[in-house]
Amino acid sequence: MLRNKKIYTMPIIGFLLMIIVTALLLKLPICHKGQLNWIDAFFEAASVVSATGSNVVEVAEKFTWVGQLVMMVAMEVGAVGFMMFFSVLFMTTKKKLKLSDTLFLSNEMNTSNYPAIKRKAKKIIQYTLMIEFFGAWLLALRFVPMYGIKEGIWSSLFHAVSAFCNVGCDVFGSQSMVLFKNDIYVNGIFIILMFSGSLGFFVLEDLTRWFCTGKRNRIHVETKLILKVSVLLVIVGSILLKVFDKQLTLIETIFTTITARNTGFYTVEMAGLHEVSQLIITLLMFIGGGPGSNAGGIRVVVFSILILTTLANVKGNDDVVVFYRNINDKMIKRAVTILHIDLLLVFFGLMGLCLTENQSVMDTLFYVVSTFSNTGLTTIDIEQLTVAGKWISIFIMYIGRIAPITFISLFVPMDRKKSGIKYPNMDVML
Amino acid sequence: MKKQCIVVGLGWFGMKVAMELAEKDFEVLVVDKDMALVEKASKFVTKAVCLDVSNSDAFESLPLSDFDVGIVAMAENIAMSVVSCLTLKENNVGKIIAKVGDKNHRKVLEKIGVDEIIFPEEYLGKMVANKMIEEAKNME
Repeated sequence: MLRNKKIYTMPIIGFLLMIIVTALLLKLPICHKGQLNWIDAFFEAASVVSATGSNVVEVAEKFTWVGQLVMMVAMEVGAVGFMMFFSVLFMTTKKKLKLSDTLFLSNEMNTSNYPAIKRKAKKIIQYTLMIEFFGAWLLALRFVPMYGIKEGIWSSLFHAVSAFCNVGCDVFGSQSMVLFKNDIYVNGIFIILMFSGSLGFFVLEDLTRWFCTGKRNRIHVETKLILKVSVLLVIVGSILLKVFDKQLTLIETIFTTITARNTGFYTVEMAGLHEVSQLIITLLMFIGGGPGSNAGGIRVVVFSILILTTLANVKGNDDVVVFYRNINDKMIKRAVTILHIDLLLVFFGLMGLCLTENQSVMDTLFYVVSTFSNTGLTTIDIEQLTVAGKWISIFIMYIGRIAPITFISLFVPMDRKKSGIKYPNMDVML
Repeated sequence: MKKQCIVVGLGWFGMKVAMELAEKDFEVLVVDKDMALVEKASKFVTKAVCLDVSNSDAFESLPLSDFDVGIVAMAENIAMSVVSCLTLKENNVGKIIAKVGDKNHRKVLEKIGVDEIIFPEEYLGKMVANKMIEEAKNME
């Protein structure tokens, strides 16, 4: 899958450019009030572009209306761009199965299949805008009476985008959504937006097809897997949270579980939760959302493949089967690679931040995983981060966004030529 | 220094040659396109690789010029046998020994310049006949 390197340089350079442009725009006097450091501008830019949503300054106070608009556009462009890139990648790799290898390599993905890609891109934009607009409209019903027309509409739009793109950046002030913690209507809309955003475009497209045509058998196996595992994660996560933090209400529990799947709004302070709950949230953040969605992490499918492989091995099965399909060995190897690289990144990030920050390992781990998986939840006050810590965070956010495997592939030469030589198998001692 | 041999083709003949050489402490590299045979041979030879000799990129990526002797044991497939002999010859393998299945095969390999050609049927035929002649002589 990593054969065609040219495709992969696109998100690597694209996101970097986007972060720089957003930072420069935010630095303009028209965008912010008072003083804004370069490092803070870069942090905020990386945070919105990478869909992390952690803030080192108060968005509502520090940025003007124009600045917030810049942030919203950056979120949207980052999110839509990422989904498009993933779909194109998926289309080209699917095609590779049909056409010969050489044809795939020579086909620079915008030549022969151009109309299909264009159609797909249009569809992604339509879906995203439609869901966000619908969400914003529903939110406006509550926010307009609260904040007045101008403020209310703006707040609805900003939060609908932020929730569906799994960013988690808010303009409510320093306390995120603690104000709304008992408001079932607002919570419900946020939960739906965040959850649908975390599924990924592929699943949404499949589901719409199902609702429109009623043909259930046309749902892809991936969709079933992603849906099933996502729902299971939310249910199990909620139950565990409720067990360890009995003071939480039902709606708070569900909201926290959903937001841990890589959005980053919160109705309860993370620091106030039991340490076991914090670990569960860390795990949920690490697992993340669906492939191609803006929720980061190792992704649900990788997680499921790893679990299924483990189960199969323990039972002594050679085949890893899900929904009557055998999972290709290549995919299992890829899943292991992703897990390994991501774990390394988290580990080195943890070491780096332990050096620069004066926080407990638990808090730092929570923050690193949250940053890597582009969630944005934190148990510490990140406005107090050191400059070095902020740069490390920006780096982790960026790498987490473009997927570490992509980033590494840029520096490692590919074995493009198949050698044609195979060596005899060997059973090693483990 | 130990003598280095490459054995191409792992039929009964090739396998046996490789096994005997390996036992006498030769460095042996075996090549075949059947993974099962390669795995079997890998237990006693220095190095075993699975590749198709018609894929010249793969075949020539082996350090062929380092070998003192090349044994081509693919009598039943003339085309592949010829390709292997040619490749070994072109890459300056010290001495090439090949097994052939019929006369035409032998002629082609002679033209290529294979150093030693083994024609088992002919060789055995002669041997059996000679044995019978010897026995007949002794009877008289």
